[in-house]
Amino acid sequence: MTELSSTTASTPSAVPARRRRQGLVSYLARRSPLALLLVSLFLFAALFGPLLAPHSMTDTDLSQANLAPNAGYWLGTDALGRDVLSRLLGSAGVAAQAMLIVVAIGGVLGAGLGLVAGGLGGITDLVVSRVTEILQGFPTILIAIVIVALLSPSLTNAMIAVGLAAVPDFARIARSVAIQLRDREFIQAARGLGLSEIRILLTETLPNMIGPLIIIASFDGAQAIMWEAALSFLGLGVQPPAPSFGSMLRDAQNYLNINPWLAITVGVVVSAIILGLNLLGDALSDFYEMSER
Amino acid sequence: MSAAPLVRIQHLTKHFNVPGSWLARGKGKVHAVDDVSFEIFEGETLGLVGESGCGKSTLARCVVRLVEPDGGAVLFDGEDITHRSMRSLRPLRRRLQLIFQDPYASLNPRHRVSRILSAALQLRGSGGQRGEAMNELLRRVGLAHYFAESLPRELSGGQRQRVGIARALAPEPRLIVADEPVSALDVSVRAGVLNLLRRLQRELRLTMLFISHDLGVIRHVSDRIGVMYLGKLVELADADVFYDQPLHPYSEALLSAIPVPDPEARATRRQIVLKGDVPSPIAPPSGCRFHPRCAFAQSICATQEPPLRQHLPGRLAACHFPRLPESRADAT
Ligand SMILES: Nc1ncnc2c1ncn2[C@@H]1O[C@H](COP(=O)(O)OP(=O)(O)OP(=O)(O)O)[C@@H](O)[C@H]1O
Ligand SMILES: [Mg+2]
Repeated sequence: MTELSSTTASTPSAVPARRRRQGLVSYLARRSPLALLLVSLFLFAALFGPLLAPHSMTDTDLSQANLAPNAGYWLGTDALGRDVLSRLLGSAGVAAQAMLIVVAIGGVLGAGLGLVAGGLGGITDLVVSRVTEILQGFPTILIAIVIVALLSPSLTNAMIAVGLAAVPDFARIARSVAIQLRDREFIQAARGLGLSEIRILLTETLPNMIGPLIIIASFDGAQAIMWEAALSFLGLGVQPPAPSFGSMLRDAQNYLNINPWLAITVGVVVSAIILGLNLLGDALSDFYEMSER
Repeated sequence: MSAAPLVRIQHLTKHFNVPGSWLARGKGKVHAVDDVSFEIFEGETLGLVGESGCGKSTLARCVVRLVEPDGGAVLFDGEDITHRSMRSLRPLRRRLQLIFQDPYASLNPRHRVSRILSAALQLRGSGGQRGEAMNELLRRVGLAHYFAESLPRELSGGQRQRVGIARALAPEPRLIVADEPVSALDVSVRAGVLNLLRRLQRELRLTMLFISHDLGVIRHVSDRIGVMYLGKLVELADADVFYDQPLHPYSEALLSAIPVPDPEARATRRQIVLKGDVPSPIAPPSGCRFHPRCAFAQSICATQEPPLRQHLPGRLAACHFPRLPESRADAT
């Protein structure tokens, strides 16, 4: 008993009581290993795709057309004799770019708008909220078609449209966190030090919404990949012969009877990436909920 | 008193709209602080007590101007700061600091202690020697220098509150308002933080407004005591006489509720149990706000509000029938 009290009494003042907090990666590995695996594979393929690709992504060779998976072409070839694995690796890079553009546009604009609306309140909030509501009402695909028609079909133009459609998601979460924090004591303490409201939003409020924003980013990232595939499928995104999931699916559609492999592999890969990102989003929300306590 | 007061609060009033019901706006208001006047002199600590919800925090926030009062005036060092804008208050901020009640909410969870303190040290203006100033601050509040690299979640409640105190001290303020600085802490670490505040008070000759709901806590730090009830200041007196002989029946009841270690004193003191609950601050009672719960209330108490006035030298109370020595003798 005496031993116990003497040890507990000496520790708190001597060493900072570092409460062990579980690292993010080790938490994800335990909570959702599949998400971690799928997303890492995707990012790895996106980053190193061009280096890893065993064949050219665009060179055609009609003598090798529509092959089933074999030793030379692990995932077979398409109607023009291009290596499916190599084109999938290229498509992963395109998908990652799409995700990046959407998250950058949606995240920066959305978080900025939400932060200002929630943090300043009043008339600012009213105006910003109406603007995001209107943005939310727009049909994504229609904006995409308009933008692409006005400009020209390209990945960037298509993804700008999708990014704008993602603004309300980020704005909503940023606004709600900013409102929650507005009258918290550490914000008042910052006011008590004479910091301006804008500075408080940037240095005190923003760092506390990174977690929720990353969660939205992983869900909207999955959406971005789906939209990229859809728009490229319709010919509004990546232009042939460059590979992308959407254009590969369109090519596969024409040869569904002769070469079903193509549609199946592309479909499975796209679904796996989207599943991985959604699982990651779920796991991240659990992680933040847990570490907030 | 010798010098001019550092802080002068005159008829300070703050009402809030009843939360959550914009329909009821105008119908009901929370009378958080109602016509409160007092002064704080350089170098003294004024202790302010009152039950939860009586408006202590609101008053504190009005004094440091985190909240704009609805009426009355706040004068700091002779300057009227009642309605100054947040921007124009900036140069004054280094003179006015607040210690918050909840050390779990008052430190940004994403900032290290060093960042929290350097934001406050910035108010001093001089650029150089900030590292040294930080170590000096940490030492003053009894924390080792390596705590600078800690995040708030790595600290205990007592350690966090020490960081909160260091932040308030950093700009070398002339007034520190401490809003229940120990009431969120474990009983085991309370004494440590309270002793720290007393030491700082002595060493730095701080001027403080020290708020608490606990008369036992406030006794150790205060030169004068103010008692609040439902947004009103009902008594203001020097600490030594106040604890022996409160004038307001409400003060008397509060005092009788703190445990007395001395059995002899306990025997002579009557235990006063207040009847009923604290009335709603939305519709406070007419006349003296305490009259429905007061054992000495008479008809005038329900109709006329007693002003805060001096009944004995240095002893103010807002009561028609203050507990003066002669009236005590009558009662017993
Ligand atoms: N921002 C606000 N909006 C509406 N009502 C408020 C607001 N702040 C405080 N109040 C109300 O004003 C009254 C006084 O609150 P205040 O926080 O000043 O009391 P307190 O004495 O500090 O209480 P505690 O001991 O619980 O901290 C309460 O009835 C409270 O509900
Ligand atoms: Mg309070």
